[in-house]
Amino acid sequence: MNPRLCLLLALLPLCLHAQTQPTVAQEFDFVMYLIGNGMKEEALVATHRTPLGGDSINFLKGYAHYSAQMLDTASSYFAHIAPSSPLFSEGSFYGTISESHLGHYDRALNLLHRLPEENAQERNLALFETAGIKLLQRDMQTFDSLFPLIDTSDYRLNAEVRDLLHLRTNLGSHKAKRPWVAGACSAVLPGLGKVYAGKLGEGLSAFLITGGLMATTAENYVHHGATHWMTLATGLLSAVFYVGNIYGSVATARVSLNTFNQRHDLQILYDIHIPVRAHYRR
Amino acid sequence: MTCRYSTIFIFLFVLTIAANGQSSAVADSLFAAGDYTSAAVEYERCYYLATSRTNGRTALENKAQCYKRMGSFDRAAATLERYATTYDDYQQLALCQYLASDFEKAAASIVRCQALADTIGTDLLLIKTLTLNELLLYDSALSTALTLASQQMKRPAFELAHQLYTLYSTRPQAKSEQTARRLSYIPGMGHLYARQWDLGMTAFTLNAALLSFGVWQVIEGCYLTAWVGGAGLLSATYPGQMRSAEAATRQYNRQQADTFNAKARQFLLDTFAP
Repeated sequence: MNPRLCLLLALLPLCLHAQTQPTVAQEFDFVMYLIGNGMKEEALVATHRTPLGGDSINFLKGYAHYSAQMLDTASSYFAHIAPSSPLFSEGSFYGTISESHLGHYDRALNLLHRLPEENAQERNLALFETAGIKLLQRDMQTFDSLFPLIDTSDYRLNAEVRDLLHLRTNLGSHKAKRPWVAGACSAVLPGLGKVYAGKLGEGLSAFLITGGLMATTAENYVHHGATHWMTLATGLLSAVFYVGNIYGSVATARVSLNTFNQRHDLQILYDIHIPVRAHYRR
Repeated sequence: MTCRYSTIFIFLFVLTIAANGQSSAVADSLFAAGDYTSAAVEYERCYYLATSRTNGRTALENKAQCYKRMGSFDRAAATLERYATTYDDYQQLALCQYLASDFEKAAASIVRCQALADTIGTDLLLIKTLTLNELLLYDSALSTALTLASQQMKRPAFELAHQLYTLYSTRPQAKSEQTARRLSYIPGMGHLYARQWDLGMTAFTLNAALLSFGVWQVIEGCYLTAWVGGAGLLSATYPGQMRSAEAATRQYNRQQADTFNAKARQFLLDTFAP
């Protein structure tokens, strides 16, 4: 018998055994296929089941959790990628976005500081991400100093850079409604605090209800006297609505400010997320 | 030379077959162990690695089976949709969609199924009847059930037809939401129409009390109190009870339909299920 054929046949069981375990590259492609086809839960199961380890698998686990919006876990996997890995930069960027979404801005900035300096495109992307995080922290001064350094000729950043600048202008020019002013306005004239907080309809409604109750109390006082149960009942209701309206105006001003901040934060997070995906084509 | 190439070809062929066979074996063992979540992922891997359409189809069939075992019929339906081409596939798809309470999609799959065959079997007729019941299309459901009865061999068709007519004669007659709204011009009447006695009495008492209070205050000469306490509150409760009557009628219709559908489902399954 041909000795080469004998060797080949001898190797066959070994090769068959090797085939039972998928390689890291195969596992990587499979999980990316699952995520790309919207099977995020299956991707998580596949990454949990894999006996493989290493930086690629850490990235894969991080990316699967990131896709399933489990950002805390995603971030911890991205943090385990060694700086020597070719996936280190990408993992750091996705870790930055995960930490930013979680509100851990300092951790996000630390991840960006770890990035190597060699790649100009990645450096520019890191600069853009840093500026975005500074805007999330409302550190306008640092944002203004970083923004001119971003290379806007990169087509992957173009739209988001414009958007970030627009958001910066909005945040800078926004005059926050002070809750105590809203409360004071409502104390002077029921509903005025809500109008000040930008809720005209609610303000008018509060004015009519509280004003109507006060007028009713006055009418009952004139008709029946101060100790009549109708006067006391309408008076008590008026007091409850009057105080409630002051409290409501304070809350409305707070909610209005929070809503404004949340809307802008979401837009900033979206803007810093898109270029990373475009850069790494995920 | 030819011998050497043949040997290498056989070697690589065996390796490829072994790779697919191994991932399938892993999935099968997980399925046998009852770990359907992991088995579904491994069957998806088999589909991903499949070298032929037949292998890919088998993998998806097995994956759909995993989801059925898990009771996740929406996912089973989504998997079936990926390969459904035959009458049997669409029948399975319709069943999964029915079990996932996606009745419109189940009806669409039944139509596709019918387009693929000249005659339709009892299983599909049964699914169709159940689906039409859920869509409240009782006339079509009865007609389909009668076709199903005519295909039965176990019992005489006329006897089954009589039972079906008796069953469907008790089908719920939907009450009109518009009528409920119109009746609510007298507060509480719309609720009574929807058989919600307690809500009807509450609505009537509340609105009558507010109206009486308003009239009393006018007589007393307290016009502002009449306006705020009577008319002001009445302007909220009066249209509110109208909307509530509509909602009560909708809820009554759904309850009646659910009760009838449960009874019909029990009868149809006892009589026609294989």
